[in-house]
Amino acid sequence: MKTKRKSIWGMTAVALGFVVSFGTTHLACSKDGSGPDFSGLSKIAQPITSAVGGAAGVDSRITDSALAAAKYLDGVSIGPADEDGMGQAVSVSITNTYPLTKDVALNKYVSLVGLTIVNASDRPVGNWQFGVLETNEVNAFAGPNGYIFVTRGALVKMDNEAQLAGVLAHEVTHVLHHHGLEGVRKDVSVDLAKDLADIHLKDPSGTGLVRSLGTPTVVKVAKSGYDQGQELDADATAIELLVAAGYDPNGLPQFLAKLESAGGGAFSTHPGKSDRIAKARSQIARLGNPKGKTLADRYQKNVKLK
Amino acid sequence: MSRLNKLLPGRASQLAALFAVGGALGATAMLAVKYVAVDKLDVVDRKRTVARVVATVDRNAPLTVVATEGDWIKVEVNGKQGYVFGQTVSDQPGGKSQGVALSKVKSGKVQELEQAAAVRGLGAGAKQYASAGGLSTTGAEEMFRRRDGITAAEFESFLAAGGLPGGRVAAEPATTNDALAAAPKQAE
Repeated sequence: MKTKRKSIWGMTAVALGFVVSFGTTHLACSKDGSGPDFSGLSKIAQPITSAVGGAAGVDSRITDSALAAAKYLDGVSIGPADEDGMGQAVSVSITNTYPLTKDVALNKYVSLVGLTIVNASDRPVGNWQFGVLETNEVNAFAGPNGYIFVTRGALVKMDNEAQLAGVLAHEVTHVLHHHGLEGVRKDVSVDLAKDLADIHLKDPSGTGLVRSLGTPTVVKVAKSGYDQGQELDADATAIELLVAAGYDPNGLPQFLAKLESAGGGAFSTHPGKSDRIAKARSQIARLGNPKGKTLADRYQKNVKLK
Repeated sequence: MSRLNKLLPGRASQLAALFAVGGALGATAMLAVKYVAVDKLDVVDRKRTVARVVATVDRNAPLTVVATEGDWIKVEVNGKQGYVFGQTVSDQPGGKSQGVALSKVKSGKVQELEQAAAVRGLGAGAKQYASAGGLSTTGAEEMFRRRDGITAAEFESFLAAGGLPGGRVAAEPATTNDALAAAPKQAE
């Protein structure tokens, strides 16, 4: 009996794999290239899994769970507490990858700049944390619900407070626009869908699903970078935030321009950086070239370069 | 009451008295009430990101509206006055926290998620994530301490010293068209 069940499970796994991969591939090419759209998967999965289940006489819980997993994914709802949990995981991951600076005064200065940006945003309350990481990598990271980091390597590149504010405003926008969540949706893959089927068997309520699968994905997205559309979106809103907070909006394209020739780090490997700079400058011109603070002296005083 | 009786006979005076009392009650009832629409909300002493917490309230707690000031609302709760950000309260008490369907998340047009609640420290999920991966929570916990260590006075001082307004500045257009004429034409 045991042996028979094992081989049936094996067959079903292969069949489900086929179903899922077929479904995914078929639906993968959404018009704007934004990645797999699982909203139709349950429609495809149903007749095929029923056929497989019927033919193999397999335990219907397995086929039911694949279907349930697909349906679950259609409507899985992520709430603010889930997002915060993901952001906290990003914070844990980042602070285990790079050391958090021991220079508390420097960290406080960077936080104050970040909080000035947040204060001028559509979400001035709630969790917003800023940390400086001791690494020469030129980089910045944002976790959902406001866990934001910038590296010393990035700080060294900057001339003034407006440039720092620009980078932080860009990261703040990733949070404001829930880009981490979008990364979770876009990353859904064949393997993930197979995992869903397996997890659903163990946890039919699915309450742990978002945390167990979404969290590693969002950490990966936060660390490896967001896609080009999200980066451009973050730049555009960052310009608005800089103006709203009273900073010179040129801070952002100035920082990007410094990185054109630099190697390494997420900023310099983002595709279309010249395009980003041109778009930012164009947007600033359309806003009428608003004046704003650069605060170079305060920056130099607080960020003592080694 | 008796003086009223002399002015207005019988029933009329009774009704007048009722209206007088009802009017007073009505005036109190006319004060607007908002209900907390997040799991945990800090009522703060000023309309700023960094501010002193006056009271912390839970979802659906009623807050008496004292005034509306831009995006913020001045409220009174438990005898204390403070501010809340408009999006964190609503006109009716609500149910549980509202999430956004994962399948609906799209770049640039993310369906607005409910404002998150005040967060006090690392939750069970993050601790579980850390222990499962053999990771330390020290750095993440230190981030909370550092944020808590920033006072409202420091923030005000930082804004003032930098000549930063601390509110939202509207972009002022250039007084001449030179800037616009000089802007590179971009195909959108």
